[in-house]
Amino acid sequence: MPHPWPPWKLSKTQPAIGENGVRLNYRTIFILPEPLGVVYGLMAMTMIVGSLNFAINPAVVLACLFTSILLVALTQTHRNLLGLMILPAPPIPVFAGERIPVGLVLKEMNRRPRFTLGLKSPTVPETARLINLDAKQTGYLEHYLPPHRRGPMHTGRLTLYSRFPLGLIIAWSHFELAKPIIVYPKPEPKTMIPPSWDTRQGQGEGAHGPAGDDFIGLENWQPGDSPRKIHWKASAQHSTLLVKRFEGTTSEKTWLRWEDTGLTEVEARLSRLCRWVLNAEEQGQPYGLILPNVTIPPGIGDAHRHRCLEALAMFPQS
Amino acid sequence: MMPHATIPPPLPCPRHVLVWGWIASIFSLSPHLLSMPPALSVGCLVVGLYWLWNVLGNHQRWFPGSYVQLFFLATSLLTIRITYGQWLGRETATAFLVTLAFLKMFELRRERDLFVLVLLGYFLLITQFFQSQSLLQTFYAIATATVSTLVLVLNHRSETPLKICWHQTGKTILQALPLTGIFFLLLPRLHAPLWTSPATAKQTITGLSESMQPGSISQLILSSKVVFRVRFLTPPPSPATMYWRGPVLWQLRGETWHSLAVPLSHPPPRPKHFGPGWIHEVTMEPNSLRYMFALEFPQAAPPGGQLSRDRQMVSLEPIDTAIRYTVISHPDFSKKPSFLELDKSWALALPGSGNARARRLAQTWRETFSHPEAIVRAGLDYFVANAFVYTLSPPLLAHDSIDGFLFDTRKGFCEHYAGAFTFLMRSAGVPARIVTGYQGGTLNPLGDHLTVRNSDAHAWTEAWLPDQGWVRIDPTAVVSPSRVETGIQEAIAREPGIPPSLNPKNGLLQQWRNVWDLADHRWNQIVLGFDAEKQMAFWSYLGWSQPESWELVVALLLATAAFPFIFSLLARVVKSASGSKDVTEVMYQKFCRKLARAGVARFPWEGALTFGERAGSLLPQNRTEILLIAKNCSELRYEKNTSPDKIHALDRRIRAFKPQGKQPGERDPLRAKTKTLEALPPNPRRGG
Repeated sequence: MPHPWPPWKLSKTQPAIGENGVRLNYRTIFILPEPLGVVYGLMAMTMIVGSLNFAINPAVVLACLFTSILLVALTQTHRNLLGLMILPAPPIPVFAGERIPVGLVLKEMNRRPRFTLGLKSPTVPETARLINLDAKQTGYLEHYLPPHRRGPMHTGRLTLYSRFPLGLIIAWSHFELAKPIIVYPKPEPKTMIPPSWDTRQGQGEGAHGPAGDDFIGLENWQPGDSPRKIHWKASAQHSTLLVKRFEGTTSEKTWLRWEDTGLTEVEARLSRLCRWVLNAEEQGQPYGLILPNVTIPPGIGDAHRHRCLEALAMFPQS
Repeated sequence: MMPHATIPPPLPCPRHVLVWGWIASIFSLSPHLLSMPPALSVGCLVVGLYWLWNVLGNHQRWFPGSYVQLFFLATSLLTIRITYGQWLGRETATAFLVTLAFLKMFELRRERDLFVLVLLGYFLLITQFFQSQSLLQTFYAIATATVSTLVLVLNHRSETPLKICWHQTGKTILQALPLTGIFFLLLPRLHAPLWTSPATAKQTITGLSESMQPGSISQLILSSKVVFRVRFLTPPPSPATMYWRGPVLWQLRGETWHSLAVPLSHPPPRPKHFGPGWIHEVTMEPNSLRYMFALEFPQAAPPGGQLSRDRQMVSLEPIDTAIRYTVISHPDFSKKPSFLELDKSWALALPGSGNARARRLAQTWRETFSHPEAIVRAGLDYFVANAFVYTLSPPLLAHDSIDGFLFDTRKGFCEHYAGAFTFLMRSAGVPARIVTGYQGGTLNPLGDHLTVRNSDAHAWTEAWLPDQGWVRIDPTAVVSPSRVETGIQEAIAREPGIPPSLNPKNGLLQQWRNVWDLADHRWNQIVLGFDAEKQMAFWSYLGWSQPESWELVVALLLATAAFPFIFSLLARVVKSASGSKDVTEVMYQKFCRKLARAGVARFPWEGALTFGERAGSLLPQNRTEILLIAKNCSELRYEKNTSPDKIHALDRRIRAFKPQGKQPGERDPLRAKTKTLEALPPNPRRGG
């Protein structure tokens, strides 16, 4: 729908949500009847005119009741959004070609329950899932945007809406996320791991492949260890999680290099590197990344992976 | 026609939503089924039940295609056309809409369809008021509106539990009620309708009509529907003389007495002098007829009514809404009027043949007595001497029913007596006519008004005597004096099979009827009677004299615009008033206040347990009690699951707690020591 405010007011009516979030107030909430609400209103008007014409007062009472219900619903729908705190949720890894999840944390701060809250955007008009919030509760609301190419992506206008209680009125609030979502390059399919992987690995600082077979023992789990390496049977008998360690895996480091991809096209290279990063992470193999414009020292774990994939995502367009 | 797929298609929305939608539709549609052509009603009901069966079970869900539906629709339209005999008209439109609503059940494919169904229900709900405008009907309508609103609340793509939806519905309706009142008071009432409805088709109406045959009044008497209510502005007459004049019947055709097709137009001559008379205010229930009732004999018709020469009061418009009017009546008004020859010929007219025995009897009276008064007396004496019985269920009579009643069965109801007596009088040459109406009524001790119901219906005779004019003669009163003296209930109480409404023995029922009758009367007076005039009076009373229609509309729009702001303001006030601290906190505050009065005040930074320790040491008599309460408070405050029992126990304990005051000489060692600390900011981690 067209924006009801002139552009110079946009910053106030469409705030960008940063880390501190935004609390919905009178200025940011819009409200209009749905088509069904218009039909309902017209029907109530007809009833009022008809009952006045025939001077049937009980019918006037009923017609007035219907009109009042619409008005009450108007305020109730508005109050269903009023005072809600919207915070950005931690980003979810997303690759080019996938639908892009946008998460929001909703905080109820006015000690009254909220119902049927949904999120939509100009391209995706309805969410599949609506959430309810209890008084003082915090909830998570998710929305999927259409796929996007790699790189930073501004979500554009997002709309939190509710039709509670009657579905006759819709109240909504526009906002955007201050931080763009980083869309990682699309990884190559798993089956297409090039043979160069093993040999290139061999040229790394370590002498052995990433999946060394020599089991040397169990260690305590540390953040960054792949869940695949957890020795579940042994862990069950201990109070902590135990991880299988293989010869060489603790110390060996692999460099994933731009030149080693064996491809010439930029996007294809990025895709391949993306796949390598994922594989290395999956196998618990510490890895570093060397791109023409940036070098990331070896490491492992979600944060490291994000750093590497972000570097790939942000690689200048050719 | 059956589809081949074995998996039933998915429902358009959750099953319980559909079931509630069905209930709401049935609520709003079923009253109309009663007044529709029976075949159509049955068809609609079958469609509704079939649909419910489909929704409840996991069936194949065969729903007819558009051609079949079109066929259904055409058939229904034809039925409606044949039954009502017209295309346009309120009943026709209503019946058509009801049929559409039921057929709509066949194509509930999306949520929106359910909404359309609910909307149709809303609309049809309001058309019910064309039939009845009673308080009961209004309650029913509001209940139905509530269920329909629930369906709207449920009709969301969310899994909000039913209980919360009910709660929300109740909240919405309750919040809408005050606004409804404001709207009702501000909507400008029309002095004249903008358009009039197409002529209504003939419908069954319970009430006195322009004809009377044996059995018609005894049928009417079974209905306890209120016809009108009366408030006397002067002392009322005794019940035995309360005759409420209705249709006057002149012509006997076959077994049936009819009123004149054209009312006698010349108004009755005004009496020259009369006493104070009875001033009374009548509130009539709508009944779509034109008869206005008043005590015998009304002096003049109220505005909107007309008084004919035979003193029938007739409304110019059918009484479709409740009306209220004030009449002055006087028992002597009808005496010694001039008597037109035309009237006389009508008052003596009889069918050419039939009832030969009655004619012979009358002939003997005519030969025996010279004066009409003596003939009247002889007629009444005949009923007394031959042990006539007054009964609600007389034996059925075949041909020549007057003869059969007078000479064979001798059991009858008021219409038998009035009919036979008038026949006898006319045969004997005394001009006579039948007057139907109501006799007596029930005094409602709560509302100080008299309620007249269909069960008070009565018929009597008027005879014209040369020196007195028209005189009321009630043969029923001769046969069963208690009918007119104490009312219909006493007169027929011993008969089997009479409805409970006519049974005077049931005291509680009578009391309940009084309460309901009062509520209904007030409803009629306050809500039904709220017309343009009353509206002016109301706003003038509040200091807004003579508001114009447009001013009312502006006020209405302003109220509508201001509503959301007032609403939020009120919500905020209510919220801050309730404070919504948790219960334990409130109880703990009370405990602290009690201790403070005893001389031990809590420091702002003291937790419950530390404060309890200190207070316990200062008030050694209550030490155990204080420690226990402090411990409970702290537990309840910080435990996740607190049982209501525990909270109640603590509440009782704190209520019962009476700390013994500190000895005046005793010093609080801690207080002295911490005096200087009070200036420091309280440690938030230790706050109570």
